[in-house]
This record gives sequence, structure tokens and C-alpha cells, in this order.
Amino acid sequence: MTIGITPSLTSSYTDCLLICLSVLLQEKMPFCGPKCSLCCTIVSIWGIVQLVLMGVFFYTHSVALAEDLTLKEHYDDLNEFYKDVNASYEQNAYNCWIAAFIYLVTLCVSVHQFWLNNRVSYQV
Amino acid sequence: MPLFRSEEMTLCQLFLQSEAAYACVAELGELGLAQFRDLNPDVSAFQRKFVNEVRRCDEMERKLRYLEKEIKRDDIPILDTGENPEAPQPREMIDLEAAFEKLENELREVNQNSEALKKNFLELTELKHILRKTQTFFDERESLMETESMTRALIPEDVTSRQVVAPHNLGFVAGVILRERLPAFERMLWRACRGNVFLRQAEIDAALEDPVTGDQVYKSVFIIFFQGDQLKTRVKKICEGFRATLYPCPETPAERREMAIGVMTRIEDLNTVLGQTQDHRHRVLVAAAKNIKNWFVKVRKIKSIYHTLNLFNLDVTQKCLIAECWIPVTDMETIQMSLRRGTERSGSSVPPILNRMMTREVPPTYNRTNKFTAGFQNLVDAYGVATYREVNPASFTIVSFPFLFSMMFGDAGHGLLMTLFALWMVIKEKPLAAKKIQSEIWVICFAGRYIMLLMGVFSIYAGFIYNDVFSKGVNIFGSGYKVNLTDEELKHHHSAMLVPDEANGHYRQTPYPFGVDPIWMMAENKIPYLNAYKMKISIIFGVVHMGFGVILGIWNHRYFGRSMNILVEFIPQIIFLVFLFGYLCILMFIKWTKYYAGAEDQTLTPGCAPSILITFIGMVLFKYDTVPLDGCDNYMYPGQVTLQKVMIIVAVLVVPILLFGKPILFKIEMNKSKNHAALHNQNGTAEGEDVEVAGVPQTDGHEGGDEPHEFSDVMIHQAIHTIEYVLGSVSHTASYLRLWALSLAHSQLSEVLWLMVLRKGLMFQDWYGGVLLYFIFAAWAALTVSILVLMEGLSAFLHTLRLHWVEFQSKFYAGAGYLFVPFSFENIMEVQPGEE
Repeated sequence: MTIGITPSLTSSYTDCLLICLSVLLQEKMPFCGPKCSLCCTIVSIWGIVQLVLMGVFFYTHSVALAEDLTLKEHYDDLNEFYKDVNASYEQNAYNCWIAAFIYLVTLCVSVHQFWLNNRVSYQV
Repeated sequence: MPLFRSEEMTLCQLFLQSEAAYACVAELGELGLAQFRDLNPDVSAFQRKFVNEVRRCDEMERKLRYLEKEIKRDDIPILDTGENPEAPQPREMIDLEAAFEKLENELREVNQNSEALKKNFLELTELKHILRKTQTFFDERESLMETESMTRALIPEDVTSRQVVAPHNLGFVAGVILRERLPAFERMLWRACRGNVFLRQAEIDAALEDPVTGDQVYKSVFIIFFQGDQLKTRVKKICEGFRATLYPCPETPAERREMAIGVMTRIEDLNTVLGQTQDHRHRVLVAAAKNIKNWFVKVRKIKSIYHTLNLFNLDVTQKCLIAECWIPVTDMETIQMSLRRGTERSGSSVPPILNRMMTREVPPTYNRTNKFTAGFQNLVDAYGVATYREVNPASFTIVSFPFLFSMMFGDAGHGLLMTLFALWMVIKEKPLAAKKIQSEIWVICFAGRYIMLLMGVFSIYAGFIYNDVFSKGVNIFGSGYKVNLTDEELKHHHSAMLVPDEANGHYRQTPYPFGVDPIWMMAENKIPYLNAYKMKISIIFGVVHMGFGVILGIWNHRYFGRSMNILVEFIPQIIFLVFLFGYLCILMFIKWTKYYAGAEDQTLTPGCAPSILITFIGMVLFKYDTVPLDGCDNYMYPGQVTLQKVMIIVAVLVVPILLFGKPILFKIEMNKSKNHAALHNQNGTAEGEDVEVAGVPQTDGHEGGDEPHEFSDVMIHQAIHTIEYVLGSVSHTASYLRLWALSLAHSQLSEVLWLMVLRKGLMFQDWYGGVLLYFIFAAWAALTVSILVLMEGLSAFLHTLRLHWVEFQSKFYAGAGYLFVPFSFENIMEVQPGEE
């Protein structure tokens, strides 16, 4: 029963998403003012640069970021410890890259908004 | 050397022919290199020579402001091309005046006309509404009349009186009143006329425009029926009181229809006329808007020229004007050229005369700066303008200010943010300056863009030295430390001590090439280690900075001819500073190099290194009997005790030299000059001798003329100076510890921000951790910018400024001068828009 329902649910969900996106892209009035879009653009660029770099540093198991790992309080087995450390490094790297990707999307949206704002002001 | 001292200035007298005066002053205004003195200080503003011209300029400005207001009212954009028109000739001024007069009159006429037209329009509209609405009222009256005639027959007693009254004697008045006033109006009528009048009213749906204020108001039509003349006058008075406008309304429907048609045609005509009037007004204003900025600039220039001309003196022969001005000596040629240009333009034949005057007055301080050095010069001038021809600290501030800032701000990440922002401001400086943004914070920020750029770059450097990038260390070259522990040791111990001696194998025996080793970021004893390091370098830089300040005093002494001061002021000062605090720095260097882990001799191990502070206190108090720790030595080098004793004694001995040296010299010189004068008087007189005798006692061998002339003054002054210096050297040296304190605060704040904010985003190990990290990063970025860059940056800026103003400049700077404010159109144009 549930298997039968969920595909239809997800398909209607994606439909909804697609409709929203298309409305957004066709939107001629910016929902973000010039200051807001500029701010978002700058934070997005910073976010992309820093999160990509952090992701790279996590992926290469850099020691400086060792304190940012999620580990248990106490380990009895050294191999288990190493396994946890490696897994945590990789997961953190992926998380950083996921966040960087979302910032890429935000960058596109805010640059589009910024461009829309500038365009609107040219038309008197 | 351009910024080392202020420019040499000279007082000049300028003789200008009256015709050429205006043009010459205009040229000097464009040049902006001459500061005119007021030669008529006792004369009031109304008695000056060119007061009429100034008044005319004021009148022109008033007209221009009226024009501007009208242009703004119609929302017409004012063009600002940023061009700088030349100051117009005096004959052009008359043309300008005529043009402004014409424009103003035209506008006033148009405004008056349109007001009258609008009033007319309003009356006609109200009449139209009345004519429409009263139709119903009259119908009702007809029915009323009929009933009256019917009842008349039923009342036999008053037949006679009734017969006198004709049925159509029911008079009426019609008018329009504001809707809000209607209830009160009705009540008043009822009371005043004892209920004998009959009011009918209907609302006007459309809003009418009030001609005076331009507001939209709602009105109602009313019609009042009454009988008799007395009631008529009463009703009319009440209508006046409530400011209801009455209109003549014809009785018969036919007449009313005719009137309505007439009113409609008149309204249409009026509409066309009104439209045309507005168009005309708009055209006039658009034409004016193109030139109005230009006109403003021209009028301001004329006004400033006449203000300056008012400062001049008129010669006895009434043919030429005399002016006194301060000009930089190196610019005499340029000024001569511009004066010649001015005379040519005015068509005068007599060239202006510029000759130097000798004076005892102190000239203003002029530092020739460009857009880069102007910011630093402003920082120095904010505390006190340099005395004339004294050493200018601004040129050294260009490097020392960003450097000391970076010591307190040392984080490469935050430095990068600051650099990027400053770089944007510098690259886009022309478009940003043209925008003329009025926000005061922006103006200050923009004016300091080069300072900010340097501060950012230096902070990146300091960040690499402290190895701090957003509170994380970067391992570029490979740490000097490596962990040499077995798995068993790692399993059982919670923490380990990595001693860098050769035996333990935790250290590669070569240090990290540049900056603090990144291993320290992971160490538990990071803070005690960095504290020791940062405190020591703060003191070292402090002593260097202060010593440099004292050394700069040599140039001041030499320039002002006080070479003896070098002996009695500079030498004691530098000896005191070096022997006490310089020695402190030397001890630090010895401690850094002498003691190392893994030394065979136990006295050379780090545990045995004596505390420098204790050593210094012992040196000052002559306390050399403390028991050293086991196997350790209290002293760092042989002969330390004797050397320290000698140094402290010498340092104490130079204090009286500092205190009494200058007053004694002064006294000797005074006696010498008295003897000189006595000798000359004895030898009889010769030509020019009187001048010499008169001249000698005045000159104490000092220039500037602000030296005290009494022994007691000198003594007190020197005593204050000595106490200030001696106590100051201790307190200022300790004050430099703020370099350590702020850098510790900054690094801890940034660490807390990472720990408490960003780490929370890294805690989640599922994919949604990435989404959460997206939001948390935004919060972390906002807090970083607002707290760490803005707040800490401002704080470090303030502390650096204080260190420069108080600790550095008190060693050599007098700062008793006044600024050179030349007559310059550029300065005037910059000031005026802000005032408006």
C-alpha cells in the first residue's frame, strides 16, 4: 500500500516544485531588494569559497580540523578509533560540499535578483 | 623630503590693481595655495567695501534656492554633470542676475495665475454641483407650497396677515460647505433662527481640490429656505461664519438649465487653460534644471571671491588693493604665474606685485599630501596640528599605524575580509566619490580607505605570523613537532607532553620556518605559550617605538637651533629609556636564545630560566639575595649584578641632568646676554647699534617666539617635562601591553565563535548536516563580520591611535601649530553641499 502511494506523492511533490521554480524564474519583480540581493551574493561567494576549501581540508584529513570531528568520549580499540576518525572526516567533507552547492544555488538566485533590480531601475 | 616637515611658509604682501583684483583672486581660488589674512578685523560686515556685491550674490542665491524648490516640487531630476565652471567675470554677474530675475518672475506669475485659475475652477465646479442637486430641493418646495395654500383656507384668524404674505416670498440661499462642518452648521441655524428655517443638503461625491493647500476635500451642497429679510441676514451671517460659499441660484428650472450649460462650457475652457499653464511651468522648470547646478557653483565662487576681496585693504590712492597672505615658499613661481594670468584676463596693464614680508608671527602648518597620505595626516592632525616646521609624525605613521594595528588584529581571514573591502573602495574610488553619499559613517570610512587597505594587508601578514586564519592554524611547511608515542601510551594517557629535546624524538630539531608552529593550535598550553611570546614582543616593539620618538627629537632640536638641548634633553632621555627598558628587551632576547629543552647543563633548561619581571624588580630595588631554585642560577650572564647596579645608578643620575640642565643653560645665556648688552652700552654708540641693543635681549637664541622668558617659567616647564617623561616611560611601556591583550581577546573571540557556532553545524553526520551547515555558516559569517571585523577592528584602530597619540608623540611632538587653510574653490564647493 505504502509503496503504491509514495511514488505518486513524490511525483506530485516534484510537480509542485517545478511549478514554483517556473513561476519564480518568470517572475519579473524581484522579491529581494538591491541591498538584500547584494548581501546574499557576497555571503554566497564567501560561503562557496570557504566551504569548498574546508571540504578539501576535511577530505585530506588535516590535523588542524581534528577538533571539529564527532567522536565518542572514549575508545577501547584503536582501529575503531581510526575508522571513526576517517568516517567523520569524510562525512564532514561531504557536508561542507553539500552546503557549498546550496550556496551556489543561492548565488545564482541572488545574482538573478540583483540583475533584475538593476534592470528595473533603468526603466523609468 | 616631502612629509618630514611642514612646508616653509612666507608672509607676502600683494598689490593688486582694482580692475585686476577680481580676476587675480579668482585665479588664486582655483589654485588654492594662498591663505589670506583679514586686514580689516575691526570693520563690521556691513561696512566692508564689497558688501553690495555680497548682497547681490545672496539675492541670487535666494532666487536659485526658490527655483530649486520649485523644481523639486515637480519631481524634475536635476542634472549633475560634476563639471567645474570658472568663476564668471563681474560683467557676467549682471547677466546672471537678469536671467535669475526673469526666471523667478515668470515662475511667480505662473504660480499666481494657476492659483487664481484653480480658485475659479473650484467655484465653477461647486456651482455645477449646486445646480444639479438643487433640482430635488425645489421639487420638494413646490409640494410644500401647495400644502401651504391648502392649509391657508383652514385658518380663518390669520387670514389678513396671511394675505399680505405672497406664496413665493419663501426665500432661499444655496451654497457649498465642508462636510465636517455640516452638523454644527445645521444646529447653529436651528438655534439662531428658532427653527424657522429649512435646510436641505446633499453630498458631493467627487472630492474637490482646495486651491491654496492642494488637498482633496469633501463638500456638501445645501439650500436654506426662509421667510423674511431678517432671517435672510441671519442666515447669511451664519454662512459666513462657517465659511460656506453662497452661490446665486436662479429660481426657475429653465434658467437653471441655461446656467448649467454655461457653467459646463466655462469649466471646459478653464481646464484647457490650466493644462496649458502647467505645461508652460513644466517647460520653464525643465530648462532651468539643466543649468541650476552650474549656476549654484558660479554664484558661490563669486560670493567667495567678494568675501576674500573684503579682507583686503584699500590703498591711499584708492587705485589698488593690498592683501596679506601666507604662501608656501616653493609655490611662489606658480602664484606669480597665476597672478599674471589673472591680470591678462582682466585686461589690466599694471602687473601685480608680490613681495615677501619678514614677520615674527608663527606661520601656519602646511603639509602637502596626496590622496594616500592625506588620511594619515588627518589622523595626526586630529590630536594636534604640528608646530611650524616641526618633524611630522605622519610619514612614519604610514607604516607604524598599520603595523601596530595588525599586531592586535592578527588574523589572516579577517585581514583578508578587510583588505577586500578596502580594495573595492580604492579601485572604485572615482565612481564612489562622484555619488556624494551623505551618510557620515560612509564618509569617514571612505576617507580612510588607504589606511584600511594597509591595515588589512598588514593583518594578513600578522595572521600568518600568529598562524591564525579564522581561529584555525594552517600547516604550510610541515610542523616541527611529530608525535613519537607508542599505541600503548596513546591508549592509556589522556594527554601527553611533547618535550622538544633530542632524546624524546617529538621534535625535528628544526623550527617551523615562518610563524608560529601549527601544532600550538592543538596544544592545551597554547595560551600560556602565546602569552609569553606576545607580551615580550609587545614590550620590545613598544620600547622601539618610544625610542624612535625620542630620537626624532634630535631633528627638532637641531632645526630650531637648540643644539644644546641634544646634550641636556636627548642624551638623558635616551639613556634613561635604554638603560632601563632597553635592558629589559635585551634580557628578553637573552632568555629566548639561551635556554632550550634538552640542555645538558641543568641551568640552561627552560625550567631554570629566571623570570624577567622579577629580575627587573630586583634590579630597581637592589634586591639580589633571592634563593634560586634547585640546580638553577638566578642570573643569565656573568657580571649581571654589577652591570645592573651600574645601569640603575646611571639611569637615576641622568634624571637631575634632565631636570636642571636646560634651566641652568638658560640662566647662563641670560647672564651672557646681559653682559653683552652692558658691554655695548659702555663702548658708545654706532649706527645700527640701537637696533642691536634692542634686538639682543629679545632673542634668546630661540625662534618661534613662544619660549618663556623667565627663569622660573623654564624651571617649572622643565620639571613638568621631566616628571612626565620619567613616570611616562614606565606607564607607557606597560601601556604597550595592550598589543598583547587585544590580540589575545581577538583570537579567543574568534575561537569561541568557531566553537560555539560553526562546530554545531559540523556535528551532524547525516546528509542533512550539509543543509544545517548552510544556515549556520550564514550566521557565523554575519557574526564574524559584525563582531570580529567591525567591532574588534574599530577597537584595535582606537587603541593604535592612542598608542600613537600618547605614547609615541609625547616623546617629541609639540603640536601647537594651526592649520593652513588656503582660499580654494575646491574646499568651498565641498563644504557647501553638506551645509545645504
